[in-house]
Amino acid sequence: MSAKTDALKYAWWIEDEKIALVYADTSNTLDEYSSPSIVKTVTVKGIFTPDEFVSAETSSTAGEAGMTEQCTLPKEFHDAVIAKAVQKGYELKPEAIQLTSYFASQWEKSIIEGKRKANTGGLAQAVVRLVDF
Amino acid sequence: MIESVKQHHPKVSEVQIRFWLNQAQTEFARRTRLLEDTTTFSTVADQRYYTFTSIDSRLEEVAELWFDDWSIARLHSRPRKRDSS
Repeated sequence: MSAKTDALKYAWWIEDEKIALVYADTSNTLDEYSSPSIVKTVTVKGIFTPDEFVSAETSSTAGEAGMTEQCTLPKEFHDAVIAKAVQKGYELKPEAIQLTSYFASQWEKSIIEGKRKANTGGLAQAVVRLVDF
Repeated sequence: MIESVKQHHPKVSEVQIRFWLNQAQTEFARRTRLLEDTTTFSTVADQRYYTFTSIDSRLEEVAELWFDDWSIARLHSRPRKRDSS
């Protein structure tokens, strides 16, 4: 049996934040699927969260002052992340609470831009993506 | 980025600012679904389930899957016969 024919007998689904992998067992007529008995590499394409910022002491460039890691979001959204952090700071200062609305609006505008960028998928115009919820 | 936040909140600790920045970038990525990427893992013989966190702690949603470099079908419901392996 070719590698292609064999691979196409596998299937997957998502259950409780777990990937389930199965092999279609054609030796019976009960629609049974068995767990894969072979060890293979699986490549997963999906949506990820960014790498967390860590302190300089725990980074690969230990000893440098401050944070040296770069945010893994596209550069144009770094200001949005800063705006949200600044907003959180002002939320703790009753005397400057009115400033939170300015930074919150900057944040929401960037979220819209971020969604627009994500939905274009590198094309010049928006594409419709089917999403499972 | 810490320095930019510190301009507004000079008395706040670096640890606290880093916490806010991590919260902000994670919320941004979740709401926009902007960070599309791939990761790999090896199957274990006779194991059916693989938790997202065991594959990659950053993994939020799965869009497509390749088994031994072949794109394989997604089932939209679990098979009728249960298997908890």
